[in-house]
Amino acid sequence: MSEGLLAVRDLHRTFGAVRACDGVDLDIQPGTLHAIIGPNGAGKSTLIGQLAGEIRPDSGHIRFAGQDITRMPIHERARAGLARSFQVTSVFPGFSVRENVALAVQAHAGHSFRFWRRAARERALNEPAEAQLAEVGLGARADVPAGELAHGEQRQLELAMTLAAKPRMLLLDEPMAPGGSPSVGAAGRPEGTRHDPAGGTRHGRRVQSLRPRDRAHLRPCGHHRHAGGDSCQRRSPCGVSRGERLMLRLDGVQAGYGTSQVLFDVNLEVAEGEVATLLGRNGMGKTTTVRAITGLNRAHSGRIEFADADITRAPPYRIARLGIGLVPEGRRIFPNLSVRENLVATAANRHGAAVPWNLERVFDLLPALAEVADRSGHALSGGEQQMVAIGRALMTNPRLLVLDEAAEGLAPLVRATIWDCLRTLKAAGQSILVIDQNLEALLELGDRHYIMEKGRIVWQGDSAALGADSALLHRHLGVS
Amino acid sequence: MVIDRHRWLPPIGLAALALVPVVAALTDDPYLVTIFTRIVVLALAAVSLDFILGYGAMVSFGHAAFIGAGAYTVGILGQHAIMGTPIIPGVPALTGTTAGLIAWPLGVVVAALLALFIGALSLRTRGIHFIMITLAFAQMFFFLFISMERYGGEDGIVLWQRNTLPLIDTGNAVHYYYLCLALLAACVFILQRIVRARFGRVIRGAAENERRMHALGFPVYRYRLAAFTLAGAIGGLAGVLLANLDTYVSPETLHWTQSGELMIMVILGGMGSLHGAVVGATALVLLEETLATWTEHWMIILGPILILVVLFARRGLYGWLAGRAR
Repeated sequence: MSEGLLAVRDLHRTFGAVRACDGVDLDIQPGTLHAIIGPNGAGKSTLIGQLAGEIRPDSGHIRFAGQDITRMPIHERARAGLARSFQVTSVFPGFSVRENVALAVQAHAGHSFRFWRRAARERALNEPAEAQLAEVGLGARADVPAGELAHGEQRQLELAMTLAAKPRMLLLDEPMAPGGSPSVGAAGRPEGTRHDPAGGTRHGRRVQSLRPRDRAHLRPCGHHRHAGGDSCQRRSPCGVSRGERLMLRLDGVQAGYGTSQVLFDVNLEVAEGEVATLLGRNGMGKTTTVRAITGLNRAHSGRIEFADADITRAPPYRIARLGIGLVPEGRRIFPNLSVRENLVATAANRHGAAVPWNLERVFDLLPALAEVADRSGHALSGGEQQMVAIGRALMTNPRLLVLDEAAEGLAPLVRATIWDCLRTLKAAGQSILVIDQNLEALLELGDRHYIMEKGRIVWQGDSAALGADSALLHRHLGVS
Repeated sequence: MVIDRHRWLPPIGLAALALVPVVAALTDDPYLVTIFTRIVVLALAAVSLDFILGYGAMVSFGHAAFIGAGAYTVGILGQHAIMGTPIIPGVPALTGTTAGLIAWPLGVVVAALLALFIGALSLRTRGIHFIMITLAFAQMFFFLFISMERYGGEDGIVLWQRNTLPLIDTGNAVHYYYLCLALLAACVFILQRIVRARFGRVIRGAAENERRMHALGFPVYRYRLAAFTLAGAIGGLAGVLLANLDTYVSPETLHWTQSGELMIMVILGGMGSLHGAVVGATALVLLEETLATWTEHWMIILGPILILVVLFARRGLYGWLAGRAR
């Protein structure tokens, strides 16, 4: 039998006591699509890392296109035609979108010891780059600095860069962008392995129990809403009913980066004890809204009120102290702190919550964290990092919890855990603002929904109205 | 308007520098030419540092080593020429020289080889380690030359005259000034081409996201080493010019404070713009000169000024002059 494009033999790798890769054999034939699936911590990223050359295997062999690449440096593997994308988007923020892809083209156009001709004027670089950008649907954004792209667009750029190298084999590490990137097949269908948390297959290790064990601790606590759903039903679809305190209010907010305006006249309200959602496709201004609320990117005009205080121009730390807990896009946990340290580092109870969050309660809500309490942040899987980010926000006892794409790029099992967790929090009366694209989960979870399109709120209403209007969903969210 | 300023500032700056000898003649102040020659030479060194610091994020804290290499090459060749002794005892064929056409390229090559050596080792590290290793190498050479009694030790080497060049009278202050200015302009022009060419993209890309550069297939180390060596060579040229300007080679040119001063010039003028390094060198030398005429404790005034500039003009003086657009 002829050897495949990629042949992995008896690959071993341990990190301390953790056996991350234990005798993996793998054969991939040209022109095929392979998925490596498994729960968090199964060793998927370790395997991809070894194939790409970032992690040295302890033993075993990797052959690619007939040569042994086990000890080959990363850049030589890339030149041999083994391309990879990154789990966390990895572009050159200071370069324009076109320059990003042109750099990928340049990597495979001979050596770069060329000192005289202006790269910006080289058609040999620009034309393939622009063709690739058109293919992934970023043609119109070629001159924008990559750092100003919305997260979903950065993923598209990432894909364009990877494909520009015309790889013989593609390694995609968790490529699931919720908005749906353009299909890989459109770009010539390279052979590849696809590492995608599409299922919960066991991969040599035990599947962790990720469900909250005990919700008894999370009953509504005192100063919150009455039990039962009365207030929900009485509320009008587009406004806050009388008697309910308003937690957050955005009034005519305009914001942007540099000279480019992103938000136009955004109005949004979240009442106490309510779950509001902000929906919309990639690049519509959702994260910019979050950045305006949390003070990370100040609004040009308009007014943002939180718990009766004007926070439009307040610095981020003060807004956080007032009680907005952010679970940021991309998790942003502290990599050099342990899980426990991540959680306690910013813990506080500034507003006298009757039953404050503490380590014990967070571990009850997210039992998977208790098992890795002493592991350091950088050794966590994506799902565990997300749970740490949620736990960290809860430890500040926020009056409003803001989650920006909290379920992005996670395995379905972990995603379900995150939604379960939010459901539990909602039942306990926590006010929540969720920014996401996952409609099914949010229809059931949210009380009030906002849809964003090109920086404007184009629709608002309750779950019943949203679920009923399939034309609306199709138009703004691409759900059929 | 803003973009125009960006286009016109460099030629205006060059024209202003070219007029310095005229102003000096009109005001009958020959010392002005000497100060500005010093500015131009230090600007050359600062530009070479900005090339790797501002574009490549290689925080080299040992740039003085390359200036010293250029300066000592000129000094050692000059000393042997004057005394008529061979450079290596017992090999009478290898004697010194005061011919610029030999000494100057040799100074540049020595500095480049030194940069190749230091870079090959230090570029394997990142961040604070890189800073410390480059600093350590420079200090090593400082102490080496301080202990070399043969070449003046702490007193350095006094040259009898500047190196001779065909067609140009290096002894004439104005001629020498224009020579230095022409070399500065040429180096800025060439480096600017390099920064914008494919090579420059690799250097800038590696500064922004090194991991991704590897994954794209770039052997980053080689490109960094080439940039570092080129910067060292230009630093060596600055050293050659400095030694000839003062007709004196001081071990102080190897001291870490020299590296620090160059870094201040780059930051003051604005990193990553090459022209900024020229502005920074001009501003720092002029500030030192004017403040020193008022008080001998001029550093007390200079320090706070530097802090204010770093705090309020994030992109340095040049970024402030040229406006926001790039």
